[in-house]
Amino acid sequence: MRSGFATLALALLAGCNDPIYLNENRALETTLDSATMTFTADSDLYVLPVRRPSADEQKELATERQTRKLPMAIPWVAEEDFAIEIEYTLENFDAIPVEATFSLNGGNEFGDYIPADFKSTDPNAPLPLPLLGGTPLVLAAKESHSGMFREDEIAEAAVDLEAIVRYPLQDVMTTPFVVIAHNSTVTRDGLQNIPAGDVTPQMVRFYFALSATGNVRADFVIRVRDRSGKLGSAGARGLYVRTDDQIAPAYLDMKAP
Amino acid sequence: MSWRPFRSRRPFRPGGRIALVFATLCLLTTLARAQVLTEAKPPPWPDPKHFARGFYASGELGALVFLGRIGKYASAGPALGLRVGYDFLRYIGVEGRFLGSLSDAETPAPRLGQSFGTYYYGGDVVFSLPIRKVRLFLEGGGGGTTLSSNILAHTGVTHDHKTSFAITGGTGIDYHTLNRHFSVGLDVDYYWLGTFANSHALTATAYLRYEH
Repeated sequence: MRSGFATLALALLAGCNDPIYLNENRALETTLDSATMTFTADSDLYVLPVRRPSADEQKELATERQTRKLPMAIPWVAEEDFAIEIEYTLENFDAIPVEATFSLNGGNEFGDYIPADFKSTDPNAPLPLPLLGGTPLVLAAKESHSGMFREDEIAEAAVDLEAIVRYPLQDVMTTPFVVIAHNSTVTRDGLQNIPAGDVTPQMVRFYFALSATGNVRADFVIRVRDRSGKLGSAGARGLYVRTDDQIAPAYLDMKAP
Repeated sequence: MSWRPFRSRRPFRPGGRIALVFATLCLLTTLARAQVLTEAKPPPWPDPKHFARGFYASGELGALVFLGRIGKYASAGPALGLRVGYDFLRYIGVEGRFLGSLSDAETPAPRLGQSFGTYYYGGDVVFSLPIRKVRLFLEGGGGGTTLSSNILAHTGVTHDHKTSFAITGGTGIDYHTLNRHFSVGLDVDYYWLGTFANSHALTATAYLRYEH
């Protein structure tokens, strides 16, 4: 109770950066394929509703890019603009234990990370890791398991995305293998090509995937703390982030003649 | 006549000087006792008519409990508040108040381990009944209640609103200290949160009040 009063007093004094909870588009659920008698994986793309910049804000971004002498644009949705956390629950509907895998990939406003795009020509070579999650989990019969991708994990994923989407290593195909396996707060491995003064774009496209050996359902909620007043209304028209199924990484545009 | 230094005709005796100091001390002590004995006894308690009356401010500390449907999804939490008011008469006054509280959201998965703030702001009319150093009071008024997040939105309780109008009523007891400006008290208030579905709240707070 004493810590509660302290938290409350701090919140009242400092002003609150209150979170907003955004509902999933739909729950993910594995379904039985009667032909193969296996459970089909499910996936869904969630795009963060972000309002468009005004003309003045666009000018400021352009000016800042010149000031910082960056080769690519300053993102409208920077990592520092939003603190994002995702809470999820996996529920096993079967009466027997099943193995389930819940993973998160996605992209920023400049492009997506699709692990399959980095598949080696060697058929036995593994795919790179997903940005978050992807660890198989055994769920007991009728068990419900809750987890979360924390704010700092999403922020780390944003740094990884920046390297993959805009500033990859010389050997582009190795970039996700390197950056996802390393923590940017510990080492700069894989981030060498990100220029000094770069503004990290926030992850705004969330590609959730669920696979399981049984009938499993995944529910999630996205918790956002909007630090810059850029969050739009979910479902509104004319939002900033593209809702295409996939966005090609920006470094491909740089290479184009 | 030529100057000559004074010279005692009798030889010096130390006992005489000591006797002089003792006699002086005795005299002083007697005088001091005489003063205390003549002062009037203070009254057992200050006259309530002399208590300060007019503008006042108070800070309160306590707990908020949600009742009704919203109570199923929100825990009790600590509350912190501030009131500023004016007593027109000894029996009636008006006040504006702000109260903040912190609660845990008891919502189903995946919304686990979340908390939210509740802020009440409004005004009251206060009816008082002073009885010597104690004051009993009834208060009633209205205002607004705002939740700090939309964590309860999916429960259907808040009808997708974060703010509700509120009607309040409460009672309490005030105990005046020896200082004419300060009093302490206990206060219980009920809130009807009209915009939310079948939702109410109750606060119980202890306060310290300064009246100018």
